Amino acid sequence: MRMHTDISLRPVLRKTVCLVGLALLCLHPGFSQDGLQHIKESLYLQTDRDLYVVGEQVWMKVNKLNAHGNKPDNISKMVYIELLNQAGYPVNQLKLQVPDKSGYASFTLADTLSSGNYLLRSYTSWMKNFPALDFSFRTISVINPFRNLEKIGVQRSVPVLEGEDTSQLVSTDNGLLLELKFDRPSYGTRERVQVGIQAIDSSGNAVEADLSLSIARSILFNDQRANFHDPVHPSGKDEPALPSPYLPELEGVVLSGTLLNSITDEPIGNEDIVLSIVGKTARCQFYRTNDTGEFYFNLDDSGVQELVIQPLDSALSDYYVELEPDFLNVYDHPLSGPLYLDTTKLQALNQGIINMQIENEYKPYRHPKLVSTPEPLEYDFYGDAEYHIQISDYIPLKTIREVIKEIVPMVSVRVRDGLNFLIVENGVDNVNFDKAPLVLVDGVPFDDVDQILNISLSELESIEVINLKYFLDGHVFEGIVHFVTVEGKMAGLEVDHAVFRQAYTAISKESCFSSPVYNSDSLKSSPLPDFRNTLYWNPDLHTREDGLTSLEFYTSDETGYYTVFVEGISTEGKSGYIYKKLLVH
Amino acid sequence: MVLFSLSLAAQQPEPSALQDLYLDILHPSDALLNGREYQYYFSQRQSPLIPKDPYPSTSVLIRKKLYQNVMLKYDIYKDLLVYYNPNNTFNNMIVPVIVNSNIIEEFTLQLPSGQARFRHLAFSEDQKGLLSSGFYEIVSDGACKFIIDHNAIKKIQNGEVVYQYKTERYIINSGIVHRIKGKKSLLKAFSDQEAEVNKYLKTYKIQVKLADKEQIKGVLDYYTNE
Repeated sequence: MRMHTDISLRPVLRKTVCLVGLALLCLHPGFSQDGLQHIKESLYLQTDRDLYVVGEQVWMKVNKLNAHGNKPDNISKMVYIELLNQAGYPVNQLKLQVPDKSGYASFTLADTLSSGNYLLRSYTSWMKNFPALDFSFRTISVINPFRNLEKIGVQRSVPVLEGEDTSQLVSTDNGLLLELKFDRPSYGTRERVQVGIQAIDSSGNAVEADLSLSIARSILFNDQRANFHDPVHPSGKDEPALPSPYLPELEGVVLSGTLLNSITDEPIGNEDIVLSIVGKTARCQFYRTNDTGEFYFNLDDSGVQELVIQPLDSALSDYYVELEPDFLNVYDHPLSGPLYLDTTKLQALNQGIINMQIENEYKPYRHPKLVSTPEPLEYDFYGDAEYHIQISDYIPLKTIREVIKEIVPMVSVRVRDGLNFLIVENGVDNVNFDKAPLVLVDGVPFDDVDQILNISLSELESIEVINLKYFLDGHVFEGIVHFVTVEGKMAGLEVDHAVFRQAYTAISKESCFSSPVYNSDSLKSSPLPDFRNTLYWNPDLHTREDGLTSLEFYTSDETGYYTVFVEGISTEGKSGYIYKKLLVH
Repeated sequence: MVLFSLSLAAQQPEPSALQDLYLDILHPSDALLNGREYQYYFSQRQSPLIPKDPYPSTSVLIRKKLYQNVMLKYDIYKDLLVYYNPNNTFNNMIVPVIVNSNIIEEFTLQLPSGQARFRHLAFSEDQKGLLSSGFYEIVSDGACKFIIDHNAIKKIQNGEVVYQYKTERYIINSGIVHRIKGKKSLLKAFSDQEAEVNKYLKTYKIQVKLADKEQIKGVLDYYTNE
């Protein structure tokens, strides 16, 4: 991707990265496989606009491409997007799960951000093994009207009336030619706009293309936007890849780290450890650390989760867990330069700032039911339990010990060396298993049965029992007993001080762009003001085999010129874009 | 790193060395050995496990990786996929394990009627009248589906519990489930092209009740291409 001309170079750290990478190679015998260094990915990041006001959402789309042929590809399922300030520090980070060839995301610009240019960078875990120049970048400008405005540079230029010619159309292709048609030459406020799009290749043949379309006030697009739209990366030479300390992420986030001895700081190799997530659903994963104490888990969950990582053998106490960061904390690429505002556009920009405030004030009334992605169904890792005992279904008892004795007959409490433990009766032959079962409390392995027996019954919701041998990840458990509390937060049980227990921001939740539809007189005459800066954003636009697609949206209450910007990539990896002015009077 | 490679012969539908690398590191243990011990509840003579072949040639797709020539049997009475790993033994006996249905994308069995491809299907509340969630043979996939339910009815014959094997054929057209018992129900499933489908049945002399799955699939292909 070509960079914006006002980007300044940061001291290059690339050599350091190479050395670190080379050192790490030795620790990863799996990476020495032939051909891996030739598998390269790239991304093509798009945004709805170039200029934003704090408090607004930045809408993004990312296409996953094969770095060699630039064709849409689908290897990594996770894409990382970061917004970096001029000093290179991330001010916003997203972990986006992209199961298909392209995905969408958005984040809100915090009102603590200073005005200036910011760099969006996106990459996959696998791309971290290659120079950061191969990441996908996009510069956006952010205005914070409430602070630091004096730091913005001002440029004077010859005043030009914004988009005085509505038929103005600019198109550039890198093998993909786009055409854009409106159903009318101009529109009134709150009117429906129908747009037709056609995609052809350089030979004039219709092509299928994956496009994004954005319609926003023209002032909010950078004059140089066209310069950014080359998804081909500068370092696409066949230079050898860095050795690979990072795994590809083919499901969700790969959570990696090291188990270390807390006295010697030496790695603890070949130790069985378990990752669990505090909650009513048991989602345990087991792993045996490698010779250098490393472990890897796959995490598919979204939002903030409370993770617990601990050895399966509770006798091990002198240990600690070090997690690897998900985001790359190396910035060996140019960062964004200072922001200069064109004096001729200040008035229009001021209107955009007012619009943002009106929108944020009235948005809750206009979108009372924001489209939210339904939470995926969660399954206990063991599937349906053989026995599910809902405590509320039974007459009130006093203690958990009593509950186990009276209504969980396949489990019994025993005492050994003064400590309580559980034992499960084998469902195959009705004889007790020899070993204690895997005991879970709110999805977390917890073998301090004395503490469990002291949980107040009012806090206990259910008990699930598997009274069969359970095989998983190389382990055999002689039964599983799962205590689920009402709150699903382990009822205040004290875990061993060495246990890694930490809130973790997992996959970012998806959000969908929505805009008002004025398809009836009552909606048209609604008193709710509509001053959207981004009139419409559709990141999931696909032309058919005949190269055509269409869409419609409604104008807002604000008159003036808008820019319709369409860009994307064909199935053959050809990219192109087009933009055209739209007049609302 | 202790990486013991998967002992199962594997082939990648997505030809990628990255996938091998990923699976070797993230999921180094036997992906199929994930579930509880399977309990035999029947006599050897009256087994509801298919195929009957003691060493069946089966395959299963887990995390987009195809594991071939693994010993799998399908319990048609309890709707469970059972895995026999020769290394998973107790007292020199293989411990059969019920593979957790959540992780199975697809499995294939060699049945007397030919190769059968099974998937776990979940049905919504309004479809549950006819079908319950579970494994079904997928004969034809797409907007219009042709699936077969392999199941067993428990009966007592001559003082012995037997599991009588039976199959039920279903067509799911526009989200509506139709059980195919004969010509009438088949035509109802394709009611928007009833005359054309009827003509096709007559032309090719297909008796729906006796037709094999390939013949019914042929009708469906004709319907979808019309």
